[in-house]
Amino acid sequence: MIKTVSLPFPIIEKRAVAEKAAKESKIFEALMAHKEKVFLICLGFSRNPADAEDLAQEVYLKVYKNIETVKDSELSKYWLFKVTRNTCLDFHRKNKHRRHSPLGPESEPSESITPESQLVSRENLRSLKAAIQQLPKKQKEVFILREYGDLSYQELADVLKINRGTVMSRLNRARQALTNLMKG
Amino acid sequence: MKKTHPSNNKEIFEFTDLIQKEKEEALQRFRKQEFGSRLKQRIKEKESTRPSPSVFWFRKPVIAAGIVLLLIVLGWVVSTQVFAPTPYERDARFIKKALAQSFETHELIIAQSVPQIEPQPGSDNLHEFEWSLKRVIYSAQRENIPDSDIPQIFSQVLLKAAQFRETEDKGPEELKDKNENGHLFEEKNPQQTFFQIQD
Repeated sequence: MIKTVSLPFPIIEKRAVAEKAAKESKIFEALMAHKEKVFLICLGFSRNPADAEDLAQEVYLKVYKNIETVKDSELSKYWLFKVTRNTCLDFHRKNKHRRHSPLGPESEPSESITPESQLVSRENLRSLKAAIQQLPKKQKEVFILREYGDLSYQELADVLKINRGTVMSRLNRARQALTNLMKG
Repeated sequence: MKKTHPSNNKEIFEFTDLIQKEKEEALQRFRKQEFGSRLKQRIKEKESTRPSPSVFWFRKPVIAAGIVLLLIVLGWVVSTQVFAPTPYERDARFIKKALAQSFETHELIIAQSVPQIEPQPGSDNLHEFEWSLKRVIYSAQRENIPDSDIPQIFSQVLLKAAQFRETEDKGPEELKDKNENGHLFEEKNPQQTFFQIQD
């Protein structure tokens, strides 16, 4: 006959806490695998890599703080991108009038590119970034998540909770608007 | 359906290329930075200010504050006995309850046996009559007569009272008859009186 031994409550509680912590840690590690994507999305929303890195740190701190709210580890990826988007939009709202250089001071010039072409490229990038900032909010977020985060149409639809068709039409409109802004 | 102009396509390709270059450069920089270790350090700093996981229930300050407030209010209520009845109220309630129990049976009997008669001029006040009945009840209580006998006593009392009232109503006429006939009807045979009156 098997005897069931009832454990005292503090031990059960400690075990439950340990199991919960292990599960949360596992989810967090899985989310850390997307850190480059998160950084790139932040780069799209911010104007230089330094800000993007700070934003990415902020995103992961938020994720760590609220990791216990994640029920499904499969869907946690979309949650991470949502947190990223919200953090970036908050940052953008707070720092609307701040001026940044498009590229960080530590960005290294590529040897194959001449200084003239590099200067042109920088200028183009600066105007492109400015144009992106002028896009309507919905178009901007779709464009950045697609172009910087390399999210698929389906992933975009899941993160933004919109139809795949809406994703495509918004993205198309964003591109059209950008070309018009760049021309003007 | 809208079609993208070829020149637009070229421009789109151009800025996609620009973005790609920007991403590559930024990623190079990002990979050199120790993002993970910096993050761990920041998490440790946060962790030191984080409450112990065993009391995770108390992480939500609103719940904790609510419980503490509730305990304080309960303590105050118990210590000051704000809602407890005063000694007078307690006594009054006790007396009311005892009286209700003791009078319940008697009041019921009175209500059933006494007809609702309007006090008429010349007759005794109904209020006085009720008190007479109550006196009977109190007498029965004093004499330790069981409750089951009380209805019987009342039926006798009421019968006599009805007879008395009948004679009182007919008062002067009966007295006249008595003078004329030389006798009053006999109580033992009220039917006889009835027939006499009919005639």
